[in-house]
Amino acid sequence: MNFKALLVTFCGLLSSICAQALMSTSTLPEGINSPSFRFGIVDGISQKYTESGSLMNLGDYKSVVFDAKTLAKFNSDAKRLIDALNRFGGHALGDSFNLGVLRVDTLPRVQYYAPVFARGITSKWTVGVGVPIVSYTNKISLSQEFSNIEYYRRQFSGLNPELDDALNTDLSKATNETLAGKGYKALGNRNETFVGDIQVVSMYKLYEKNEKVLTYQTQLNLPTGPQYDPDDLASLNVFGRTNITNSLAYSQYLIGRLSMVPYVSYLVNIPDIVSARVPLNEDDTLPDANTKEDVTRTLGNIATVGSNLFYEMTDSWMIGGGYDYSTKEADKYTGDRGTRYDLLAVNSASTAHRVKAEITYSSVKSYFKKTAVIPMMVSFQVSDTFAGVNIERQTTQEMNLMLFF
Amino acid sequence: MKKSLNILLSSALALTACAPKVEERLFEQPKTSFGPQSKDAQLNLRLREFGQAVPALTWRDTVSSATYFEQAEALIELGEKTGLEKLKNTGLAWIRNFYKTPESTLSIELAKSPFAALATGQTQEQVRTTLSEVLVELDASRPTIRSHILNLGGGLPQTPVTGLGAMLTRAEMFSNMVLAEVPRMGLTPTIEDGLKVGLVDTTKPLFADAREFLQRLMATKTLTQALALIDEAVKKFEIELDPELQKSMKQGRQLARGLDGINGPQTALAVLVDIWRVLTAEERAQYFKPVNEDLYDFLKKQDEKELSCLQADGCLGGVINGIAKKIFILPKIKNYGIEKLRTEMNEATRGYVISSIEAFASEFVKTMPQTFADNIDTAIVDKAAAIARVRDGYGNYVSNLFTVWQQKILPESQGQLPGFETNRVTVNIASGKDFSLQAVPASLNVSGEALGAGLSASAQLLLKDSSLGSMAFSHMLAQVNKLVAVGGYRDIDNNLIPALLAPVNHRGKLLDIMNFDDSKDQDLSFRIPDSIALQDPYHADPAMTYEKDFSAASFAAQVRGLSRMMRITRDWEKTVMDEQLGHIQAQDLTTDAEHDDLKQPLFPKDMLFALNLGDAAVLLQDLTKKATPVFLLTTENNLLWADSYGNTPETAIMAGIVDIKKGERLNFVKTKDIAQFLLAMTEFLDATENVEKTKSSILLAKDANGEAPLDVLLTGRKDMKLLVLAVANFISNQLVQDNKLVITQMSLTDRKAVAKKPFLIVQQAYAMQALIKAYQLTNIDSYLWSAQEIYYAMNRTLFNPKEEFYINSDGSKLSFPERVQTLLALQHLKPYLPTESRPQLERLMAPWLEALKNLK
Repeated sequence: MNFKALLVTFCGLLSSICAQALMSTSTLPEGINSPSFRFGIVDGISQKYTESGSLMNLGDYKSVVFDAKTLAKFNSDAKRLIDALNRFGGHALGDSFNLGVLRVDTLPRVQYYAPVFARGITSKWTVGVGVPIVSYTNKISLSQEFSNIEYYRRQFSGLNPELDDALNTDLSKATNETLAGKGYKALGNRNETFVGDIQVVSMYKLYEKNEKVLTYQTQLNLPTGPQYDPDDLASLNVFGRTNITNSLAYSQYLIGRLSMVPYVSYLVNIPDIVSARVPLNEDDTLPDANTKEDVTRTLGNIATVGSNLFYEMTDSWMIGGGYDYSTKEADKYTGDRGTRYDLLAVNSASTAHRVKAEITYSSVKSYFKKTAVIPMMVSFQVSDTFAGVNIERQTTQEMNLMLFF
Repeated sequence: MKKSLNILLSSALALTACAPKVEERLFEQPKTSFGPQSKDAQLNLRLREFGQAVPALTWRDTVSSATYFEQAEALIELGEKTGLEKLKNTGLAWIRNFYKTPESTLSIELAKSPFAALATGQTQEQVRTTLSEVLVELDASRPTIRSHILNLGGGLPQTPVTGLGAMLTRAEMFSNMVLAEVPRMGLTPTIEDGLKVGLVDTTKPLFADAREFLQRLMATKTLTQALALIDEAVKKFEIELDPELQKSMKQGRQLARGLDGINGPQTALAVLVDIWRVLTAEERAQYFKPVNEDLYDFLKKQDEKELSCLQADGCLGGVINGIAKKIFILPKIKNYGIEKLRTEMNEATRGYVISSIEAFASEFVKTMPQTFADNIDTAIVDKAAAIARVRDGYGNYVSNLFTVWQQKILPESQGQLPGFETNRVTVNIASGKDFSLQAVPASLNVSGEALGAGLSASAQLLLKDSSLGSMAFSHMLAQVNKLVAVGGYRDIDNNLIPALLAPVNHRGKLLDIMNFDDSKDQDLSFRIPDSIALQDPYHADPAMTYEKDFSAASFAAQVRGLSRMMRITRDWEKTVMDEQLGHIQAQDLTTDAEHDDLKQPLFPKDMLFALNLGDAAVLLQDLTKKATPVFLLTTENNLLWADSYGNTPETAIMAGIVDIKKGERLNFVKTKDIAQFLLAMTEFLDATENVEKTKSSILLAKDANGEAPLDVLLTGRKDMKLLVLAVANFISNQLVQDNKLVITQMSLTDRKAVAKKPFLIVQQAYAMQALIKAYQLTNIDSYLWSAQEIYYAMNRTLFNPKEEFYINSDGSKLSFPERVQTLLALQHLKPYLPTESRPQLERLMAPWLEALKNLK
C-alpha cells in the first residue's frame, strides 16, 4: 500500500493558496479511515508576476505615479488644477506637475490549519472532506516620494485656499480619504481568521496493473469562505467560490524505487453572482460606491499539466519533486446595467509554472512489522511559482500529519 | 536520512532559484528645474567712443495730457531707478511746467469749489441743530441770569460811595460778583462759558478804559479839556446821549468856547450871562449870590433882551442898565481881574461837570444790578439774533467765510484754485533746446484718462518735488477738490451734486457715494467717461452730458491716479498732506465764534482717505458688476464676463479688459490696456498696503451684519491679487506668441491676433513691465520668464544695429514716448536678467539715457 498518495489526495483542500503537494495515484484501502491535520504557511504573495511576466514586488506593482497625466484622469478637480497651472505663463507648468509616487507597501502572509478526514469506500475509491481555518495578516503602509510639489508650493501657496489644499496634498492621507469617501475600507493592517472554502474530494482508480495506475479525481470546492468584498481593496478575495476540478493521474515505476506520475487537471468554475464595483472606464481605478451592482461572475477555468517524480529511499522515507504548468482563462462578468464589465476582468487570464518538493516519513510499514506503535505519516512540502503571468508568487511550506485506523 | 533532507532542501532552494529576480520598478524623477524657454541673443552693438555725440531726441507733437504726464512720470521713475537725478528732476519739471502753462487748467474760487460745498453740506445739519439747541438754551437762561444778578445787588456794601474812583471800584466789584455767580446759575456749559467769556471780555477793557478816563478827567484844567475828554469817552464807550444831555453838552461847549475867548470885561460879562442862562434859579442863587450879590441882584432883574444887550459890546440898554454896565459891572470885572475870573469860572464849570458825572455815576451805582441784568440780557438777545442769522443763512455764512479765507491763504491767485487739466497739449522738446509747452485751452470738458493721469502726476509732484513752494498748497487743495468732484456729494440742501463717476449702462440714478447699499447693486455701475461736460472747472454738468464711451486705458488711468493719491491721503502715516493741510483748523475760517468743535482739522485726513478710497472702490467694484469691462477665460478656454465670477462651476484662470464704446463692450483687447490695467491694480494694492492701520471712522464702522467697509476692502484686496494673477496669465499665456513676442491686439472671438498689426516695441515694453510687476507681487517665476523671453525675442528679431535700438516689426522707428517707455521697461527688467545678460543691456541703454539727460 503506497500511502504517499494520501498526502496529495487532498492537496486541493485549500484551493489556490494550498501547497501544491505532489499528485499521486494512491487511494485508501477499503474501510480505512484517515484523519489528518495540515498546517501551512504561504509567503511570497507580496510579489507578483506581471502581465509582462516580470516578477515585481506587489508594493512596486501597486504603486501609483501621480503625474499630471494620471492626476488628470484621477478626477476633474485635479484636471482643473493642471489646466490652471498650464495657464500660468507659457511654460506648461501643469504638465510638469507631479505629486510623486504613492507606494503601497504590503506584507501579506497566510497560515492555514486544515483538519481533513478521508475514508476508503472501496479498494479503488476514496473520498474525503477538509475544512480549512485560515489566518490572514497583512502589514500595509502608504508612502509618498519622488514629488516636485515643493516647487509648486513655493510658487503658488497663499493664492487661493482651494489651491493651497491641492498643493498640500498628502497622498497617503488623501488616498484613505478618497477611499473613505467612496465607501471603501481604510487601507490598514489586517489580522483575521476565518473558515475557508470546504472541499470534498473523490478519487477513483480507473486502472491498476503491474504497478501502473490510472486514477480519476474529482474535487468539489464549496463557497463556505468569505465572499467577494467589493469594498475591501486589501481582501484576499479568493474564497467563496464554487468549482470542480477533474484530474487524471498516471503512475509508473521507472527504475527501481523511482516512479513518475504525470497528470492533467481541469478546474471548472461555476458562475455565481457577486456584488462588484464596475469601473466606468479604463481610468476609473477606484469606482464609486454607486457603481456597485450584482454581476454574474464567471471565473476563468484552469487547465494544468504536470508530472512528479518519487524516490523511495527506505521503507519509511521518501522524497519527491514535481513541476506543473497551468493556464487560466480570463474571467467574465456580466450584468444588467450594460456598463464596462469587461474592466473587471482585466489581466485576469494567467499562467503559472510551479515546482514542488517534499519529504515524507511513514510508520505504516514499521507498524505492520510491529516496530511502530501507530500507523502514521508526516510530510513536509515546499512549492514555488518560478514563472508566470498575472499571478502572485506563492512560496508555500506545509506540514502534514496523517493517521490511519 | 540527513542526506535525503539535504537533497530535498537543496532541490527546493534550487527550484526557488529558478524564479526570476524581483525587478525594482524605476520611477521617473519629476521635473524640478524650470526656467525660460529661450536665451538671450548677442546684439551687434557699436562700441561708442568717448566723446561721441549722444543720440538726438526730439518730441514735437500735440498729444493728450495723459501721454504727456506718462512720459514725465517715466522720466521720474527712470531717474530713480538709474540714480540719474537729472532725469527725475526733468520729469518733475515737466509736470510743474504743465501747471504753470497758461490755460492748462480752468480755475475757480475756493469758496465755490466742491470741497467748500461739501464741507458746508456735511456740517450744516449738525451746526444748525447745535445752533437751534443753543438758541433754546439762551432763551431759557435769560430769566435765570437776570434773577441771579438782581439778587447779587443785596450783597453790595450799603454805605454810599462818593468820588468817581470809589464808584468805579464798586462797579468792578459787582462785575466780579456776577462772574463768580455764573457757575451757580445752573446754566448749560456752552452758555456758562459764553457768559463768562462775554463778561470778562466786555468789562475788563471797559473798566480799564474807565479808570484811565477818570485819571485824565481829574487832570483837566479847563472846561474845554473836560468836555473834550467827555466827547472822547462818549465816542469810545459808544454812549448814546439823550436830547437833554446833548443840549447840555452843546451849551457846555458854547460856554467853554466863551471861557476860552475871554479877553476883557465885556467878553467876561458875556460868559457870565451865558452861565446865568444855563443855570436854574436855584443854581444861580447857589453859584452867583455867594460870589457877588450885587451882580446876582442885577442879573436877576434883567430880562432876556436885556441879558443879550449886556453880552453885546457897545449895547448899553436903558439908562439905568447902561450906567450900571458901564459904571459898575465892567469896571468891577476889570478890577477883579480877567484872568482870575476866567480861572475861577473854568474851575467852577469843570467842577460842575464832574459833579454832574458823579451824580450820574452815583445813580448808576445805585441801579447797577438792574443795569448789569439789562445789559447782559440785551447781549444775550443780540447773540441769539446773531446765531439765528447764522443758522438760517448757513450756506451764505460759510461761503462768506471761505471767500474771506481764500484771499488770505491764496493771495497769489486771488483765491483761485486750478481745476481739471486740459485734454491736450502741444509739446516741443528737443535735445539741448528750451522746453516749450502749450496747452490746447482747457474747455468745460474733461477726459477720464487725463483726469487719472493728472491725479497721478500731481501725486508725484507733491511727493517728490521739494521745489514746489507755495504751489504745493494750492495744488494739494486742488487734488482734494478733484477727489470730491470725482465722487460727487450732497450740497447744503441735500441735493446730490453729480459725480464725474457717471452711470455706465443705466439711466437716472446718480452715484451717491455715501450710500453703501447702492454700491452692492449689480445694476449700478459708475465710471468716469472718456469725455464728460463740466459745469465749472470741477463740477459735472448737471445734465450729465457724455457719450457712453469708457475705455480701458481711461479706467486704468483713473485707478492708477486715485491709488497714487492714496499715498498722500492715507491716514496712518505722515505725508505731504499733513504738511500742507494738516495744520488748518475750521477755526481758522472764522473769528466770529471760538469753539472746541471748530478746533478740528478742516481737512480731516481720515475722511479724505475714505473719500479717496471710496472713489477707487466705486471703480473697482464695477469689475464684478453687470457692466463689467473685464472678461475671464476659464481653464476650458471659455469666455465669460467678470460679473458671472462665482456663479459658474468653471475655473476662471485668465482675465483681461476691453473698451466700452457707445455702451457696448468691444470684442478685442489691446495689450497696452491689459498691461496698464494690471499696473493700475498693483498700484492700488501697494497704496492700500497696511490699510488695516487706518483710523477712518467711515471705514471702521460696522454695519448690522458686523461687517465694516474695511473688512470688505481687505477681502477685495485678496480678490484683486487674484485678478492681477489672472491678467498676468492672459498676457503670458495668450498674448505672447510662439515667437515670444506679444501681439498688439487680440480678437476675443477667435482668440487670435488682429490681422495686419505688426509687433510693436512699445507693446513689448508694456507687457514686460506688467509681467515684472506681477512677478514682484506674486513671486511666480513664470511671469519673470515670460518677461525675459520677450526681451530675448526683441534682441533676436527687433534690434536694428543702425538705429542702435529696437524698431517695430514693420520697420517703423519708435516715437519719443515709445522710446521712453521701452527704456523704462528695460530698466525694470535689468535686475532680473541673468548676470551675463546685463552688461549688453547696459551698453544698449547708456546712450539713450544720456540723451534723455540732455532734455530740459
